Amino acid sequence: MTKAKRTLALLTAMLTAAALVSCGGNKTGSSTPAGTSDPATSTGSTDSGKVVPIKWLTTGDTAAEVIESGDRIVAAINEKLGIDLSVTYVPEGNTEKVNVAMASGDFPDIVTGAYGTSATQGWIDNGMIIPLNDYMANLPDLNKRLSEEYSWTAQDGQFYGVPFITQYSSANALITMRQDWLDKLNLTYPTNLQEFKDVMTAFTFNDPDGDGQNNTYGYTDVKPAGNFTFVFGAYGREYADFALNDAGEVIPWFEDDCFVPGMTYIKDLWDSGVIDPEFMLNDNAKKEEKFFQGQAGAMIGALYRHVTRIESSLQQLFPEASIAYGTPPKGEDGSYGMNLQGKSGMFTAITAACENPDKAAAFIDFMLSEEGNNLVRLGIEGTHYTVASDGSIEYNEEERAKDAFSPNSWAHALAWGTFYWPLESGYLPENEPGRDRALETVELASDAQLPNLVKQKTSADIEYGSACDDVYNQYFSDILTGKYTVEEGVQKLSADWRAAGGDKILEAANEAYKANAQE
Amino acid sequence: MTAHATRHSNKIKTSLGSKIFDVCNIVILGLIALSTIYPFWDSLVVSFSSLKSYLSTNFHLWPGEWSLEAYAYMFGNETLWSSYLNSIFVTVVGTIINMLLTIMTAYVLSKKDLKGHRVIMFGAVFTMMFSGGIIPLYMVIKDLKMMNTLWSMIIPTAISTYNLIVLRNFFNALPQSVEESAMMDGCTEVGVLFRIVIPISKPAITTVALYYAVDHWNDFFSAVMYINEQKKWPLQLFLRSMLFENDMAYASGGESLYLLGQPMKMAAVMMAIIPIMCVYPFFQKHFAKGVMLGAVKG
Repeated sequence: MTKAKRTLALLTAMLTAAALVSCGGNKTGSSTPAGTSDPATSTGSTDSGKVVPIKWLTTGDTAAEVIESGDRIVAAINEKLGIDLSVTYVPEGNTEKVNVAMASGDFPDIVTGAYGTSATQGWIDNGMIIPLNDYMANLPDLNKRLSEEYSWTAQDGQFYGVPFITQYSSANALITMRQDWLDKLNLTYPTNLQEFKDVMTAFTFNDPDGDGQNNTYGYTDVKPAGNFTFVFGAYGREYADFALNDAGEVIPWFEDDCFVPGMTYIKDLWDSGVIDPEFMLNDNAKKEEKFFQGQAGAMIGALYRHVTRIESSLQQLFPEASIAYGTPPKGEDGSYGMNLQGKSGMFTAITAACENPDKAAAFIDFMLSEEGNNLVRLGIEGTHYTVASDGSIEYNEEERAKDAFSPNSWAHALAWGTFYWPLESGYLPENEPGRDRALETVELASDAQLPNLVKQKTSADIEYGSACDDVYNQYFSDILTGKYTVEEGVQKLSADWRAAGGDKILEAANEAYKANAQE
Repeated sequence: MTAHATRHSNKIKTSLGSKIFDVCNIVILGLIALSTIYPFWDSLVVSFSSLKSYLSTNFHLWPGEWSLEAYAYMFGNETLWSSYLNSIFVTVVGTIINMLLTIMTAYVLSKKDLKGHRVIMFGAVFTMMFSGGIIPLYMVIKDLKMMNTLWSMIIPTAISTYNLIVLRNFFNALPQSVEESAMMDGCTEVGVLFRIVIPISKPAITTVALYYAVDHWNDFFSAVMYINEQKKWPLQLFLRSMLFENDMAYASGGESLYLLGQPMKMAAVMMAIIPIMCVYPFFQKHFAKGVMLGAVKG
C-alpha cells in the first residue's frame, strides 16, 4: 500500500512541479506575448491623447522575424497613432485558425483572413465585420486602395475590408533557359513558337551538355492547370480565367479559339519527345531540380528574387552555366501572354467588437501609406538606415537586428503578407544581389500577364474550382498521350467540366460579369 | 518419431528445392525490407550532403560531399531549442497524465460489478463517433484560460477513448483470481491496481504509452489552433512552419526557406523523427506483444 501511495504522490508532485516551471502561459507574468508592444514606449499623440489597445489577428508573413517586446517599429506606430498595437500571428499562416477564432466569438479588433472564401463572406453576412465606408473620406490611402484599386470588391456599395490580391498587377514567371546550351548550339532565346520548338528540339537531340548521350529534354514543367499558358497566349488567349463567346457570354477559357491550335502545338512537342515525359509528376521543387541537374534545358521559372538563387543552384553542377529569360514566344499575329492575374489573397477587416474602429481604420490607412511602407521596409531614418549624399540607402544591420527586421537589409515583420508582398510592391533592398535583373524579370513577366475577365472569385469557384481543375488536368493528359484527338478531347472536357460543377461556375461568373459591366 | 522418419524429414528440409525456396524467400523479403529502409536512409544521407552532392545523383546511398551546413543552420536557431523543450514537455507530461487517467479509468470500468459502468463506457464511446468539432473545443479551451499554453495540447486529449477500450479489454481479460487472492491478503483496490494489475499488464501499458507519446510528439494541429507565441511552439510546428512551402509567398518574393534546398529539409525531417525513434527500442519487447492484446475481447 505504502508503495502505491508513494507512486501516486510522486506522480502528483512531478505534474505539479512541471506545471509551475514550464508552461504557465500568460499567468506567469514574466513573458510578454510576441508582437505586443511595450506600453511604456507608447506615448500617444492623438487628438484625444488617449492610447487605445488595438489587437490584430493576422496570418502575416510566415517566415518573418518574431516581434519582441520593445520593438521600435511597433513603438513608432503606437506613438504616431496613439494606439497600443498587439499583433498575433497565426502559425503557418493558417487561415483556418482565424476562421475558428472568429466563429468562436474570439474577436480581435482587426482581423486578416483569406480573401474570397466562404468564411470571410460569412463574416460579412453575419455582421462580424463592419463597413469601412464611413472612415474612407478622411483616410486617403485606405480610400485609394478601395475605391480606385479594388472598387469591384464592394458589396452593395459597402467595402467590408481591405483586399490584397497576389499577382494582381505584377508577375514574375518567365520561360527560363540554359544560356550556355543556347550558346553551344548557336541558338538564341526563342521569340516565336517555331523558334521555341527548334530550341526544344536542339536541347533534346543535339547533345547540349556534350556528354555524348541522349539524356536531355527540352522542357519540363508541373501539372498543366495554369501552365503551358505561353502557348495559348501566342494563339490569342485574352483572359486568365474565362473567355467570351460571340454572344458576349462567359465560357470556359478552353472553349476559346486559342485552345485547339494551342493544344495541337503542345501535342506536337510531346510527340516529338522534347517535353519531360514525367512532368505531370513534378512539383515546383522537382521541376527546378531537373533543371539544375541538366535533365531539361527550359522551365517556367518564378524569377524576381529567385533569379540569383536559380542561377547559383544551376552552377552547383555546371559552374559555367547561366540562365536566359525573356518575353514569351509570340504567335503569328504577334500575340503573347503567359502569367495569369491572381484572384486569391488576403482580406483585412475591422470587427464589430472593435471599440475604436476609427483608430483601427487609421492603422490600416497608415500601413497602406508611403510613410507606413517606408517605416516597415526601411525602418527609422538615422537608426535603421541613413540616406547618403547621392540619395542611396545605407542599411544599419546592427540596429535592424535589434528589431524584427529580416537579415540582409530586408524588411520588418509587419511589412509583408497582409497588405503587400515584395513583388506587388516592386520592392527590393538597394543592396540585393542581382537587383537589376530581378526587377527586369518582373517587368517582362508583368508585361505578359493576362487579366481576369471576372475579377471576383465566386463562391462557385471556391466550391467547384478544384474538381474542375482535376477534370482539365485529366483531359490535358489524355489528349497529350493520344487517348483522344484534340477536337474529341475538348468536347468531352467541356461536358465533364460542366458536370463537375463548371456549369455553376459559369452561372456565377456570368452573373458577376454582367454586374461588373453594369457598374 | 523413428530414426528413419527423422532422417527422412531432414532430407526433405535440406532438399535443393527447399534451399532455393529459402534463398528466394530471404532475397525477396530482404529486398522488401531494404526498400522500406531506403527512404529513411536517403533522407539521412541527403541531410548530410552538400547541395551539389545532392543534385549530382537521384539515388543517395552515401554523401558524395559531406556537409554539416544544414544541421549547423538548424542548430543555430534558438527557436529550435525552445521547440524541442516544449515537445519534450508535452510528450513526457502529457503521456504521464494520459497513462494515469487512462489506467485508472480503464481499471474501474473493467469492474463488472460497478453500477453504471455501461453508461459511462457508452458516454466515452459516444465521443469517438460524434465529436463536438473544433469550434466548441476552441471555445472550451479559451474559457478554461488554456489558450496559448502547452496545457491546451495535453488536457483536452488526456484520455483517448480508443486507448481506454484497449486497456479496459486487457484488464477484463486478467484472471479474477489474482485480484481476489491479493484482496484476501489485505490489499485495497488501489493496491491491487498498482501492485498487481499494472506490473502484470506491462505489454498493454507500454503499447498504449507509446501510442500516446508518439501522438504528442507528432501533434502540431492543436498547437496551430491554440498557441500563438513562437517560443511555445512544439518542434513539429516549428519545423513545419520553417519548411512550409507557401507558394504564394514564394512566388511573390516573400521570405521562404524553400530556397534552402533539399538537404535542409531532410535535416529538419531527421531532427523531428530521430528523438521519437530512439524511444522504440526501449519499448520493443513489450510492443509487439501489446499491439495484439486487448483487441480481441469486447
